[in-house]
Order: sequence, then C-alpha cells, then structure tokens
Amino acid sequence: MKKALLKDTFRQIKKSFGRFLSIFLIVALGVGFFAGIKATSPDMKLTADKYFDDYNLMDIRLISTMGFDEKDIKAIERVPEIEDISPGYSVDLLAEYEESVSVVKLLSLPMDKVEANASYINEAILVEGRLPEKPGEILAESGNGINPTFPIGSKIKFSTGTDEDISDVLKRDEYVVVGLVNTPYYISFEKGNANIGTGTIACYMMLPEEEFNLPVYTDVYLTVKGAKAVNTYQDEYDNILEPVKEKLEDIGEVRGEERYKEIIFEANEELNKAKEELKEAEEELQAELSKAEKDLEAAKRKIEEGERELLAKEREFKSQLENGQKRLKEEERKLQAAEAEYERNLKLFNDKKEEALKEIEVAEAQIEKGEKEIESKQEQINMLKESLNFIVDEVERLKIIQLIEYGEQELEKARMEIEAAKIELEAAKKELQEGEKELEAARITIEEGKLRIQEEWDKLEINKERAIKEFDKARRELAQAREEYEKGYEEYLKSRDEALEEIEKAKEEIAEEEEKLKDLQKPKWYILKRTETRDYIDFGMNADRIDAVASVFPVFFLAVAVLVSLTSMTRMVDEERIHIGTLKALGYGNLDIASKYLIYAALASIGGSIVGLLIGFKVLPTVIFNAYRIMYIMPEVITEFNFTYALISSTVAVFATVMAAWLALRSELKEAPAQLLRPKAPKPGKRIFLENISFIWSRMKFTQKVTARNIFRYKKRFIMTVLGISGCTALLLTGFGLKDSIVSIVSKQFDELYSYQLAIELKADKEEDDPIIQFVKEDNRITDYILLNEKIIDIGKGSIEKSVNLMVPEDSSRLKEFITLRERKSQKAIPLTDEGVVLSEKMAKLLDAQIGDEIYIKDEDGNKLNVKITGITENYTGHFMYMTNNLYEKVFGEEVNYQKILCKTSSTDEKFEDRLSEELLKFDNISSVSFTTGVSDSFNKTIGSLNYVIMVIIMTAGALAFIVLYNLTNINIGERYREIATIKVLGFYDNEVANYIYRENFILTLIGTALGLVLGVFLHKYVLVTTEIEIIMFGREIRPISFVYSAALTLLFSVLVSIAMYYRLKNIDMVESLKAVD
Amino acid sequence: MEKFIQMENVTKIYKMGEVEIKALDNMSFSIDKGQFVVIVGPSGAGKSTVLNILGGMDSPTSGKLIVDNKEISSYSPKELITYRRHDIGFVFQFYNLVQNLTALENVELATEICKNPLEPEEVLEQVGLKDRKNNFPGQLSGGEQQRVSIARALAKNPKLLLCDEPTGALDYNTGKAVLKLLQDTCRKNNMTVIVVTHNLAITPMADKVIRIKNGRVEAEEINENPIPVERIEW
Repeated sequence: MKKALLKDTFRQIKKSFGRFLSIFLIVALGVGFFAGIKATSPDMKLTADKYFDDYNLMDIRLISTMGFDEKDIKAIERVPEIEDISPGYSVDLLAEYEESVSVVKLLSLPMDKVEANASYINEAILVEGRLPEKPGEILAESGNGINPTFPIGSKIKFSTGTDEDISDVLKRDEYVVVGLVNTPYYISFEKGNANIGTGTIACYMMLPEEEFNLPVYTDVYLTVKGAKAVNTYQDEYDNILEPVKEKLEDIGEVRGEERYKEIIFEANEELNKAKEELKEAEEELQAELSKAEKDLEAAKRKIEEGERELLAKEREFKSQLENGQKRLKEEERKLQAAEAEYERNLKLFNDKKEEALKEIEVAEAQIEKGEKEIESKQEQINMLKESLNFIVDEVERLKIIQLIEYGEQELEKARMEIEAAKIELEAAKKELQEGEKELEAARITIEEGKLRIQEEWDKLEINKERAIKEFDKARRELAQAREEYEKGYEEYLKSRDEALEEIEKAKEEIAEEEEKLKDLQKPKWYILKRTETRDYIDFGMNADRIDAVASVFPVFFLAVAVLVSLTSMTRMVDEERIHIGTLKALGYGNLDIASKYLIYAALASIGGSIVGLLIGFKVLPTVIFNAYRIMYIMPEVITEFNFTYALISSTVAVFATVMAAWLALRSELKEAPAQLLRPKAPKPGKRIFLENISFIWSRMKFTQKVTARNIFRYKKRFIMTVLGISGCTALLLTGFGLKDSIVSIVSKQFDELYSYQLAIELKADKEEDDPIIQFVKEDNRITDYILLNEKIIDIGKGSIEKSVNLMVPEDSSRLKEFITLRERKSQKAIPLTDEGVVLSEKMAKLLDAQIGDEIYIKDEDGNKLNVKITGITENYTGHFMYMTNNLYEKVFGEEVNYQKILCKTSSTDEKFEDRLSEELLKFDNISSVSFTTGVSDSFNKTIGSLNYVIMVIIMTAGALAFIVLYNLTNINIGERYREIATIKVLGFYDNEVANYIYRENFILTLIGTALGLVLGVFLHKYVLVTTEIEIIMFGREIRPISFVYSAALTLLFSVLVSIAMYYRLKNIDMVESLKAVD
Repeated sequence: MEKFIQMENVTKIYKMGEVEIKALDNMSFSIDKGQFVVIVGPSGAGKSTVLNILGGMDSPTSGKLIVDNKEISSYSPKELITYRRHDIGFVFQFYNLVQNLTALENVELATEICKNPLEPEEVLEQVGLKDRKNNFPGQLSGGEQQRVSIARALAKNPKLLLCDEPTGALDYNTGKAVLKLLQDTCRKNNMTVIVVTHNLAITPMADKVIRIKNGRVEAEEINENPIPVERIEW
C-alpha cells in the first residue's frame, strides 16, 4: 500500500469520524452482546465451580432414615475414592427471637477443624462478627448481607416443635449469635420444607458439633478424589461421582442390615428393662395404695365413733333437761296450789277478820257497856256503902251490907267477865294478828318459791344453751373430719386411677414399641450427589437458560451490523466517486484503491469487535449474574475472556463489514475513470406502484408523495431500517413476552388450574378414623377437601420413558372442584373417566403422545401396563397423570391408598396460613403441609430476577434501534444535503424541514415496528421452547399490554433519535451546500 | 422614488478559525422596483455573498439592508425564513431540483408554502414546459431543468427574484433562452430581478449594472436603454 493512500485512509477516518463510529459501535454492540451473553452461562458455572471448590462443598451427601453411627462412618471411610469425610448433624428447630418463631435448619460445625484453620467440607464463610469461642454461641446465616434474620447479638431460644425435649437435641436451649456466615451448601434463599412450625425453613444456623446431644450423626458429607479438578457443571463431574454413589449404595445396603439387627437387639433389651421397671412400679404402687386405704379406713372409724358419742351425750343431756323441766314444772304447780290456798285463806281470813273485827267491836262495846255498868253498879255500891254509914239498922244495914256484898260480888263477876271478855278480845285480836302473820309468812314462802323456780329455769336455760353450743361445735368438727376424709378418699381414688392409668399407658407404650419394632424398616441410606441437590440444579438451569437466550438475540445484532456497514460504506463510496476516479486516472490499481475502504471497514469492525468483546465479556455476565445474585448467595462473577465466542463473533462481524465495503466498491471499480470523474447521474426519480392507484395517490398530500417515493427508492436503507427496527421491537416483545409467559405460569397454574389452597401429605396411608380427616372435616377454616393418591411412577411410549406424578382422586367427579382439567387452546373441560388417563401437556409433548395413543405405566416390579390417553390437560409446572380409582385398581390390581389431601381454605392471609399450618403439623401422621400461596410466592421471587435480564434486553434493543435510526437519518441527511438546503432556501421552517425528512423515518419505524411485533411473536415462541426446562411449560401467550409497551418503546427510541438529529438538520448550511457540485 | 432595495455600508466578515475573511467591505447600493439588475465581478469579489444577504440566507456583520421598507438586516433567523418564503425567489446555477419529484411537483414544492402563489401548471406553461410537467428532472435537459427552477421561483410570486449564475451550467442557446425568460418576467410582471454572474457580456441587457471587486462596489451603472437579450452575443 502506498504511503499517500494510507495517509489518506487515516485522514478519511478523521474526516468521517461519525460514520466510522457508527460502524464501530454497531459492530461493538453486535459482537459484545453476542459474545457477552454467550459467555455468561460458562462464567456463571465457572463462578459456581470456583466457589464450591474454594469452600469445599460436598460432592456427595448421605442421609439415612436412622442416622449414622461410628460403624457407618468407618464403613464409608473404607471407600478408596473418598478424599475427605465429614459427619455432622442437621436438625430442624423452632427458633424464637424477639417473640417471633421461625423454623431454622441447624447445622453442625466441626470446631476442631475450624479452629485449626484446616479445610473441611461445606465450610462456613465468616462474613461478619466472629466464630463461636465458648459454649452458648452460635453462627447465623448472612444471606446477601442485608437484613439477616438473626443479627449479631440476638438471643435465640430453641425448641423442637414436637413433644421431644430440646435437651435431647442440644446441650442448652438458648444461644447468642456471634457471627454471620455463608456456606456453599446453601446458595439459594430457598431452604426447603420442614415438618414443624410453619413448615418453611427460614434460614440456617451453625453450631459447634459439641453442642449437639444427638446419639447419631444425621448427615455425612463426602468429597471425592479428582472431583475438584473438573468443572462441577460438566458431565465429567457426574461421571466421577456416579461410581462412588453406587459403592456407597452397596455399603448402605449392608450397613442397613447390620444396623437393623443392632437396633432390634438394643430395642428388645430396652423393652425388657422397661417391662421389669413397670412391674416393680406396679407392685410399689399396690403397696402404697393399700396403706393409704388402711389409713383412710381408720380415720373413718374414728369419725363414726365421735358421731356416736355425740349422739349419746345429746340424748342424755336431753333427758336431764327434760327431768329438770318436769321437776320445776311440778314445783310450779305446787306453788300455784299453795298460792291458790293462800289466796283462799287470805280471803277466808279477811272475811273472818271482818267478822272478828265486828265481834271485837261488839265485844269492846259490850265491855265498855259492862264497864260502864260496873262503874254504875260501883257507884250504887259506893252509895250503898255510904248509906250504911247512915243506916245503922243492922238488918237494914245487914241487908244493905248484903246488898253491897252482893253487888260487889256481882261487880266482881262483871269485872271478871269483862276481864275475860277483854282477854278473849285480846285473844281474838291476837288470833287475828297471828292469822295475818301466818298469811304473810305463807305469801313470803310462795314468793320465795317463785323466785327459786325462776332461778332454776334460768339456770336450766343457760345449761341448755351451753350444751347446744358444745354439741354444735362437736358436730361441726365431726363434719369437717368427715369432709376431710371424703376428700382424702377421693384423692386416693384419683391417684389410684392415675397411677393405674399410667401403668396402663406404660404398658401400652411398651406394646406399641413392640409393635413398632415389629414394623421397623431397615435403615435406608439416601445418597445424594451434588448434581442431585436442588440449588445446584436450579443454578445450572438458570445458566443454561441464559445460554438459550443467547443463541437467538445476537443474530439480529450481527445482521443489522452488516446492513449498517453496507449502507455506510455504499454512501462513502458514492461520496468518494471522484476521488476514486482521480486515483484510477492516476493509474492506481483496483486493489490499491479498494484497500482504503477495506481498511476503513476492517479498522472500524476490528476496533468495534475488540471494544465490544472487552465490554461484553465483562459487563453482560456481571449484570446478568448480579441479577441472579438476588436469588443466590454467591461471590462476584468471574469473567473469562472466552476465545471461542470472541473468535466466532468478531470473525463474522469483520468479515461481514469488509464484505459490505467490497460490495459497495465493486460496481464503482468497474466503471471507467472518465465516468467516475463526472458526477454520478442522480438516481432518477421513479414512479412507484402506488401512483397507479390514483384514488389513493391523488388524495395524498404533496409532501406525503415525496416521502412515499423516497421510501421505495432506497431499498437497502429500507431493509436495514425495517430489519433493525423490527429487530428492536421483536426483542422488546420477546423480553416482555418472556416475563408474561413465566408470570402466567404462576397465575394460571395456581389461580386458574388449581382451585385448592392447601395440600397435606400424610406419612402413612389414611386410615378410616384418622384424626386429620376429622380435623379437615370439622375445622371451619377448611371449606372443602378431597383425598388423593399421588405417587411418582415411570411412564413411557416407544423408547421414551419419563417420570410423572400419578394422581388418583378418591372421587373423580369432584376432582374438577380442586384441579381443572382442560384443553389449553379450546379451554374445554376434560372429563376423567375409567376409559383412560389424562396427561399433562408438557409430558404428552415429551412423550410425543396424542389423545387416543397408548402409553405404558411401569409398576413397582417393572411390568409395563398399557393405558390409553383420553385427554391432554393444560399444565405449567410438573408432570401429572390423572386416573380414576377404578382404572387404578384395574391396572395395578390393588386398592388405592390415599395419602394426600387437597383443601380449600377460607383465607389466604399469611398469618392465617401460618397458624393453620402449625396446628396441622401437630398431627403425627402429617409429613408436610404446603400452601399454594407459598409456592407461588417463591416462584414470583424467582421471576423478579428476570426483570434484570429483561432490562438488559430492553437496553440493548434500545441501543439497536438507536444505532439503526441514527445511521439511517445520518445517511438520509448526508445524501439529501442539497435537497434539504434547497427547501430551506425555499423558505421551509425548521420544523417543516424536519418533518420532510422524519416522516420517512417515522413511516419506516412504523413498518418496522409492525413487522417486529409479528416477528416477536415467533421469536418469543422460539425462545420459550428453547429455554423451557423439562418440568415446566411456560405460558404461550403474550399479554396485549406487552405489544403496546414494545411498540411504544420503539417509537420512543425513534423520537429520541429524531430529537438528537434535529440540530444537525437545523445547522445545515444552505449557502455552502448550494455551491458545491455533488 | 423610494428605493426598493437599499444596501447601506454592509460589511460581511467570515471567520475561518483564526482567519477573518472580509467578503463585503462597506458596500452600499440601491435598486428600484421592477429593475433588471446584473451584479458582475470576478470570482471571489463577493457576488454570492451579496446575493445570499439579499436573499435572506445570510446576515450582514454590520450595515443595513432595507427591502421594501423593511430592515432585513435586523431580522431573526425565523423572520429570515419567512422573508425567504414569501418575498424571495431563487434560481440556482445547478437548478437544485428535487430529483424525486416531477417538474410539476418541484414547482408545487414551492407553492405549497407561500401565501398567494401562482398556479403551478400555468407557470410551467409560461416557461414553455407544459408538455414536460410530469417528467422527473433526470428526464429533462439542463435548460429545461433550469426553466423548471425558474418556474419554481416564479410560482411563489416573489417580490424579488435572485439568480445565481443561472446560465453557468447551460450551453449558449439555452442560456440565452433562460435569460430571455428572466427578462420577460421582469418586464411583464414588473418583478425586480437580480442576476449574479461573472459573464460581462450580459450586462447590456440590464437596467442597472453593479460591478463589484474585493467586496466593494466598483461601479454602479444605469443602462438607459437595455438591449433585449436576443441581440446580445457572446
């Protein structure tokens, strides 16, 4: 190459830097996007592999139905391929923190190795805080470092969530979080299910092994020799593990047998011991009981005696009292009699007294009279006497003496008589007085008697009261004693019953244990390769999905890159026509002349490729992986320069661009220099077919006609623009559509197809009077339920064989109330009949089976049983085969065992579900409880990360549209510079000028968008089919709004380009452009 | 009589990076309405600059331009567009027809945007292209194209028709025919026509000849008796 030409080439680049840049950029975009997306999947897998290797993720995990003892570990260690072995514990526990309880997976940490800084399997990566240093300290999950469930310093209280005591599991029940860790063992936020609490494991925690109180190891983790050397996502990795797994299975078989025997022996021994203990306890109880009985009897007797005594005393007292009363009454009576007599006597006496007093008065009067008589007689005597003195006649005197004497005698007599009367009177008075006195005495006696009797009554009353009080007291005491006795007796009865019941229970337990022992299954080992763990598979699938997307999208970019290069180079060659002619005239060869443009194209494309690769390999895997890091706990992505993809993409791009340049040059080089030196005859105007349809053409505005002619005039540009724009729209539509499809899995599967909200799995088959059925039937939170048998079986057709969930409802006619069976396209319900089975759509597709085809079902013994497909039902996740119980019995020849219950609940509130779940998990026979809301929530989270991928798609689609439209407008303006200048001179306003040019862009954009929407539908379908994983069927429809979004975004990009180009239009210099000749 | 166009001390300086080029240096002249004016001068004298400023495609750096009593030199870019749109007709050396439009459509391109345009078909008939109106520029000869270009300018019914070397790309006879068309238009429609050329031979046909050199008016001559173009030979 001549020096001058080379110089010219570089000047050309400098001069037309915009054009150079547009080729450079579209190549960078195409190459970068293709290579970057293609490299994402390998980068993701590489990152995972390194992470797993760095922190020693187990290659194989062993779990056993009965754990592992030392002998098991020894047996495993003998496998020669094993590099390292690490037995450990893992238990699901309820963790209480700040009054909320969540289910955690507690893993053991081999502290000796941790402290020695030695490598161990499933290493804990300390993110924050420190490792446990003393008992009572624990590590919690860090997750993505934002809002850990249990921050450092939180006190966690553990419980088992079952009847079991926490001390059977852990050394203590409270631990303090001292550090936050991550582990390759859990890379996702989904930790699976537990059968305690809410049933969903919220997070894991790690505890030094010594803090566990479990008798056997629950898990054994292994690493296999040579496994680290290969990428974990390569088939070779699984090939290394598979033989080890087979060996371990054999060991498991043998150890299971041995362990079984050991367990039976130990259990029997224990049972015997328990029986003996029980017997002793029973005897002891009997003795205790009889003693208690005796004591009670004695107490009872004493009470009865007391009662008797009390009764006797009462009776005695009563008779005494009665006697006293009788006596008193008698006396009273006597007294009354005496009183009456006294009254009578008194009356009598009073009568007599009156008489006597009268008599006395009479007597006294008589006496007075007598005395007066005496006195008179005396006086007579005295006169006589005196007379004597006078009378001296002695006869007369003697007669008078005689008369005196007589008189005296008489007087004497009278005197005496009065005296006697006086005495008599005195006596009578006295007698009266005496009688009064006597009466008085009698009255006093009676009064006294009365008083005495009253006193005695009082005394009697007091005695009586006192006695009654005493008796009451005695009686109360006795009643109390009796009550106490009754109580004691009752207690005795109760404790006796209780004790007996306990013994009965113990007996039952022993019987149960014996029964259980009879039913004891041989311990079974489950050997899980890393390739069989969920996180591993999920992550791999996500990586593969990206890869599938990568195989479609970048094609557009490359195609558009070629077209952009082609149009740009054509334009450049056109512009350089005279230059080429001049060179030719000077005698330069075709190759020399061409080399300028080829170098130009090559430099742009090689430069673009390099920049595209450098950015693409770094940015795309990082962006996409970071999107996935929302779902996965992983270190930063490791981006590799992937030579294969780099070479493929850049070769295609460079070749295509240089070819485009060559194509553009070819026709020019053929012409003679003289021709070239003349300006190229402008491409003549041409009528377009539309002009023949005069009724449209005549109606079009003048400027519209111009636009129409221009559009059809430049076919290359037309194709480039329409392809670029349609590619942009199609990409957008695919992106939005993908989201629709994946989102619709959730809404269709869980809202439309599944009408139930709760699925309960039973451990054992349902029994007739299962308490769970009772609960489900009676609890008003569960509005309806149906029993099902679900099991995983193999079915096949021809040479294809797949696993499917067989679903046999108890009542086939009611199945539709819980699970809708319908044909996807027609939405017609599919009946479930005894004629055959209904298969889920994806499975039918995998088996390539149609309605009416026969497929086989493999029973447990591997026999192939033929059934007919009577329907293919819409279904998005999982594979299902529905069958009536009649058909099941006919095909398998056995009764259907129902072990799954589908329920409708009255609410889907989270708290409601948590509570219900907790209650349900208390039943022994329930192995799992799952709510469809829970399932759909976790699904939705997964889809969230998809938004980032869609963002990447939208951004690249935008870039694509931008570059294409920019290029188109650029060329348009360049080529029609003169035309634009002319119309500017003619007095077109700026916006009129812009319209004149942009109308074309706009129409091309519209055509491209419309085509893109059609194309997008196909692209979407293609991507769905290629990215779909086996177990899932994505929704096939795109929501109408996604069409709107895609079209609107495309139009928006076009508007943005128009705005950016507006200033270029405005700045076109009319004067300069009109002078020059093209 | 009031002058239709007045250039007063117009100076135009182009800046090319560091270098300043004085295209017009204090230029003054005037033109009456309905005059056929020829501006002549050697290459680089500033002929085109004068035309550009007169046509509203460029603004003077200093000085005044008054057209029909309006001070064009103080117009904003938008006002300049309106000025071009309604008052100015342009005829270019290289016709500048839109290749994708027929002759008639090229005329329509201009008439669509002005206030009271002439009927495009009539104008085309005037310029003698009635039969070629549906041909694309590529199908027309140079003279025909230039006639389309003139028709396009005339159809706008402008106050001022500016022609930049209208015969520059044409052969002798065609050039003559074009010039005649311009002169006839001027006479018939009383339209002011300014022709810029380096061809001194056509000066006798002008009412007024403005000779410029190095951005200055060298001479401003009035032809009392302009000669019809048919009688001029060069």
